[in-house]
Amino acid sequence: MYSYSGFDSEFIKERTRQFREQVNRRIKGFLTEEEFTPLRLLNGLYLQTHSYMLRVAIPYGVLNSEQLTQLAFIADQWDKGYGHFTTRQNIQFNWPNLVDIPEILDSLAGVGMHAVQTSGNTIRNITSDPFAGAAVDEIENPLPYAELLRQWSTDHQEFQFLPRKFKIAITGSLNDRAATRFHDIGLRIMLKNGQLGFEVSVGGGLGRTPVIGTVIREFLPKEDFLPYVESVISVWNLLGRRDNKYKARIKITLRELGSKEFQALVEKRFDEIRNTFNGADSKTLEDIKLQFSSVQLIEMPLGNYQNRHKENQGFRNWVKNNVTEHKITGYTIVTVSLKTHGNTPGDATSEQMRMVANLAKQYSYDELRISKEQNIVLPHVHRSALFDLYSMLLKAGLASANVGLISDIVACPGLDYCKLATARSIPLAKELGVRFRDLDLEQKIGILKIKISGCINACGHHHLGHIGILGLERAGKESYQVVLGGEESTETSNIGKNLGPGFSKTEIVPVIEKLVNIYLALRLDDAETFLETYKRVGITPFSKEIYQEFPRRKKNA
Amino acid sequence: MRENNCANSTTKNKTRRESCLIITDSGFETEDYRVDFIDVTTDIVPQALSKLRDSRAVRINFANFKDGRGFTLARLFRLEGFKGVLRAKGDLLPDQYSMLRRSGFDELEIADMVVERHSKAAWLAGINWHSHHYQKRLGSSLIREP
Amino acid sequence: MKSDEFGPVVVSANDLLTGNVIFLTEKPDWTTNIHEAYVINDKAESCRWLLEGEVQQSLFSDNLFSHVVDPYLVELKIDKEVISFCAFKEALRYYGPSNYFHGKRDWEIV
Repeated sequence: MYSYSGFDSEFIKERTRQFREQVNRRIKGFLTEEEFTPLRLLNGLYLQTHSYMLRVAIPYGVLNSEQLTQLAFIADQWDKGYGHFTTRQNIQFNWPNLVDIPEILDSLAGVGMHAVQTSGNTIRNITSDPFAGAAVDEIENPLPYAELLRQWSTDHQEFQFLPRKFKIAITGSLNDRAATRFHDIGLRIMLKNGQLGFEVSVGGGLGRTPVIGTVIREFLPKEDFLPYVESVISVWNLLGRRDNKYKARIKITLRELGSKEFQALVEKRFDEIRNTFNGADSKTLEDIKLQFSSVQLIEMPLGNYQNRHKENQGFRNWVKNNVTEHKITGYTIVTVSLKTHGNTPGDATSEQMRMVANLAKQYSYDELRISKEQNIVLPHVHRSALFDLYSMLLKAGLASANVGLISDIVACPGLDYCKLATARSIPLAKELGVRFRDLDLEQKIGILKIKISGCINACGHHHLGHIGILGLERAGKESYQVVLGGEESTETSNIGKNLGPGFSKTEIVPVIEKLVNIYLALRLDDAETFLETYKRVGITPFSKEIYQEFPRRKKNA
Repeated sequence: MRENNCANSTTKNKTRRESCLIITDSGFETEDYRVDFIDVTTDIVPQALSKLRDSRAVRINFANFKDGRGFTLARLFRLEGFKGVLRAKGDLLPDQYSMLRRSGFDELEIADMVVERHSKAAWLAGINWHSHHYQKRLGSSLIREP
Repeated sequence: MKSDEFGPVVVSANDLLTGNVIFLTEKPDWTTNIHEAYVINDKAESCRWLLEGEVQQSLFSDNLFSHVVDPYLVELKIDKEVISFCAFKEALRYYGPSNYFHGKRDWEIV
């Protein structure tokens, strides 16, 4: 993986120094909150419901053990002993004090980390495939390109006061695990006549108005990578609405202008600026690639694996659900589920972080990834090590064999933490996890992705859940709407369809349970997943039965 | 400040003294009015701006510090071949000085009251804008390579 | 709220240094305890406090409002001595997150 150069370290050092000054001026009263807010937003510091919240960048989700250990240290030293991994592969600390922020940033800088551009109207963390560099279906590792984008977008002179935030995702696999079609810019690595390039989509997003991105360039040669991305953002920077923050995202600009017109403007801008790049970026890319390909995966015998697998049911289950094939024979990709039944999705204690950091160092060539499903991926684990790894995870309570299953719930922090929220998401996630564990149905149900958002901003990505739940407020009480059939795969991106009127907090868990029972009754066989059944039968069989059992009172005319 | 059915406060209608400073890499100066600037606002389209390409001095007025259009406008303007003095005007943040310079602006005109609010030292930090410049390091520049 | 009825409300904000939820007391001072909060029943008075906050925050001196962020009014329901929050969101803001492991206070919210 990439390690900081002197340039990166110096940049962070200077940036931290500047922010320390700004915090001091704020505390002393030389800056008002109005003046301080944009400054703190440039550095990832929010003021949330109960406390400040610091969002630390984890570039394209990749960490080494030293970094994760430092995050654990920060959690213990300056927070309440835990951190929250987000649906954009970052980490949030919920309880820092303002006075401690400069120290925390220094602590992060010490391991090549920061909170720059994790908030504000700027280019945010570049997200990618948690299986990058290891997946069987990979065309090429997207991470070097993600790193190039990270460098290019950091402190970009033109793009830190955009009309709104800007999110870029990149994938290098045939199966898009980065949901690129749901980002402001989505990049998919392609091969054309043996040449490497990108399919570029623009204007995807979730939130109030979920929309699938439009491809504006079917093949972008890799040499044109940065100039083209710059062109898209340059065009939008001038055209994006600044009078209405709900209409400012590029997806709205694309809709209002028309994608053909937008595409033409981008191509024109691209012609104007492409020759302002002298090719140094290509050289940098090659250097970055060397760093990413420096991992030499050693061939080893399988050892005791087969026997352990045969003897141990728990291990077998865990391998079945949490372990994925690796492109190198003998190796595997392990997803460590943070979704212990009844836990808050995405939360990890400092102890758990230290444990996983050590495991990554020992078993995964000192590399780990945070997935947007809020789990931790160990990308290069040899099969012979799986049982030992599993045993360690079991001892630490991190061996839930539920990746992709119904209790592997994705949820935003919701009303419990977030100022923007309209309902709580965490208690619902906890209750659902416990319910389905107690029913002992998880393995039988199979792949079923539940995603929960605590408000219309959809940070829980509920539009993309097989079952998506949106928490709203109705007459002062929490009200939950259900959508079905969301999908973020490569061929078929689908936004979930609304089941019907919302449910109260006491109804929602029984409703989900009922949905599962309807599915189990309708499915052709064990192999047909919830999503497949839904696609086959449509929404009506579900909505009909649900609203029969949970009739809604008709609104007054 | 959240609204709670109270009348709008009067402190929002602050009257500001017109006294401005010009910030350049050499530090702070007062306006000497030697140069006549053509004023444009940030909602100008690049094609209209490029018509001013042969002018001596152009001033781009930022609506507020959130208005990032000025940076892209400056960049495109320089690309068009503008060789004159390009000035930004607005109540910007100290962090934005280096962004201005990197985008092609020569200087910033700003109310001296705003300068004082952030402290002169905060502004001077931006004079070091050649350093820690990721985009330049990646070979991106304001002009086309021949 | 009907025009002839108002309140009870309290002035709430976040503490600048910690982000803690705080309430204005009668002294005036700030407290994290709702039972020490100054309960206001007069609309004009509540507005005066908010305006006062705005004015004071634009002065660069150490004053009542210089170390608080975003003061606003929170509606309460007071039944005999029992204080509750009109808005569910405000209750959460006071009691803390409901995943108790990380909570500010131990509580069970229905």
